[in-house]
Amino acid sequence: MITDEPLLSFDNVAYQYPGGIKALKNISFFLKEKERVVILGRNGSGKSTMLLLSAALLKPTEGNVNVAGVDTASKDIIEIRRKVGMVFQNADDQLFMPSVFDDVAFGPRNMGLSHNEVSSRVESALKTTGTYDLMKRRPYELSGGQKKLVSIATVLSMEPKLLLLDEPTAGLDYEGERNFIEVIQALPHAFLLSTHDLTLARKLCNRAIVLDDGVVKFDGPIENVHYPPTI
Amino acid sequence: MSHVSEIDSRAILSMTLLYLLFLLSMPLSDLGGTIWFAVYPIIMAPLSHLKYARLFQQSLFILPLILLIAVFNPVYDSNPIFFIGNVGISNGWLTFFSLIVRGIIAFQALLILVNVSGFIEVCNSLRRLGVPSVLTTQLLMVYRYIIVLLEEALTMNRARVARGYGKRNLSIVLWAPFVGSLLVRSIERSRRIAMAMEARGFNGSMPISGNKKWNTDDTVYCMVWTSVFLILKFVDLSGVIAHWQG
Repeated sequence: MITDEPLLSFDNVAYQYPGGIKALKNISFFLKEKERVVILGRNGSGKSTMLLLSAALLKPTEGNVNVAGVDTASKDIIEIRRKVGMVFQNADDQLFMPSVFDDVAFGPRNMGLSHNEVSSRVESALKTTGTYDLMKRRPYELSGGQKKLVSIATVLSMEPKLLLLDEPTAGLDYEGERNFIEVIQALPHAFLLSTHDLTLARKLCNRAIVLDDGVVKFDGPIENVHYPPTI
Repeated sequence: MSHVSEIDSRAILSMTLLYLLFLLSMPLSDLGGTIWFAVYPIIMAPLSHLKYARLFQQSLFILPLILLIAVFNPVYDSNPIFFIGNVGISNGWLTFFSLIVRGIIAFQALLILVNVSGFIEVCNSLRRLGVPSVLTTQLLMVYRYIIVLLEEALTMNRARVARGYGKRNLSIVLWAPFVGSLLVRSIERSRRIAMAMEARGFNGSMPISGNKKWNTDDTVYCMVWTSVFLILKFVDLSGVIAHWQG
C-alpha cells in the first residue's frame, strides 16, 4: 500500500566535512514511495554526500533527514537499515565477503534472520538480478558488470523500500549498462540515483534534482532538465 | 563429496588444533616419534578426496621458512650423539630434520583443513568455538582483500614501468612513496568498505552462518582421532614394532 508519508525527506539539511568543506547547504526535498529521482550535478556538487546522508552513514550538521519517519540522527539505526539499501559506486567496496552467497547473505544475517529465511532471500535476490548461477563464485573473479548486478542483489536481499544508487554505471561497458538498466527498470522500489549520465537518468527516472555547489538548483520533471544539467 | 566434508567443521578444526598441539609438543630430538605423526595427513588426504602427492608438493612451499629457522641447529649443536658408520650425527642434525618434518606435516594438516572446510567455514567454526569476532573478521577481510591489494600493487607497478623508460626494478628511493601510496589507498578503501558494511547493518560482529548441528558422526570422528593422537604421543610405536619383529 502506497502512503502519502514521504519515504525520504531532507529538511533544511546542511553538511560540512571535518576538513571544513561545505558539501550541502540548506537542502530540502522529499521522495515518496515508488518515486524514482535522479540527482544530477558536476563533480563535487554534493551528490554522493546526499546519498550518504540518506543512508544514515553521515549525520547532517544542520537540519534533519528522515527515512520513513525515522530521524537518521536517532539511535534507531536498525530500522533505517531495513528500509534503505545503498549500492556504492565501486563494486569492490560493496563485495567484501569471500563468496557471492555470503555477500548477499550479509545483510539478512545482520538482521538476525533464520538460516532458511536468509537462504530464501539470497536466492530471490540473485534470481531478480539474473546472477543466481554466480552464487558460489568469488567476487574478485567476476566481471565488472557481474559485480554490479551482485552488488544490487546484496541490497535487495534486505528488502528495503528505498534504493540509493551512486554512479551505478560508472566503469560498465555497453552490455553491463544494458543489463543494469533492465534489472533496475523491473524493480518496484523507489530509488535515488546519482549520475552524470542524463540519458541513463531519462530512462530510469521521472524526476530530477540538480545540485550545484551544494545547493538545489532544480527539482522537477526530468523532461524539463536540459544538458548540461543546470538552469 | 567426501565423507569427511560431511563432518562438522568444528570437529575438523578441533582435531586439527589438537593434532598440532600434540605434534608440536613432541621433543625436538624425537625424530622417530615425530615422523609417525605423518599418519594423520596421509590418511586424511584420500578421505578428503585429495591426492597426497599433490598435498606434499604444496606443503613444500613452507620449506624455505622452516630451513631459515632450523639452519643454525647443526651449527650450534655439533657434538655427535651416535654414528652411522664413520659419520657422526649430532643432536643439532636430529633437531634440524625434526623441525623440517614437523613443519611440513603441520602445514599439510592446515591445508587439509582449508581444503575440506573452506576458509570461510574455518573462520565460522572459530567464531562458534568462542574466538573473538574481531579476530575472525580480520582473517576474513585479509582473505578477501589480499587479492585486491596485490592487484592494486600490480597496477601501480605497471604504471611505473610504463613511465620507466626501460628501468625494470623499483629503485630504493621510489620504494617509500610506492609503499606509502599503497598504504594510503588501502586506508581509503578500508574506510569505504567499512561504510558499505555499516550500510548493511554491520555492528562490529560478523554474523555466524550455517545451521549444522553436532551429531554422532562428529563425536566418533573426534574420539577416533583423539585416541590416535594419544597413541602417537605417548606410545613408542617404533619400539613396539621392533619388539614384535624381535
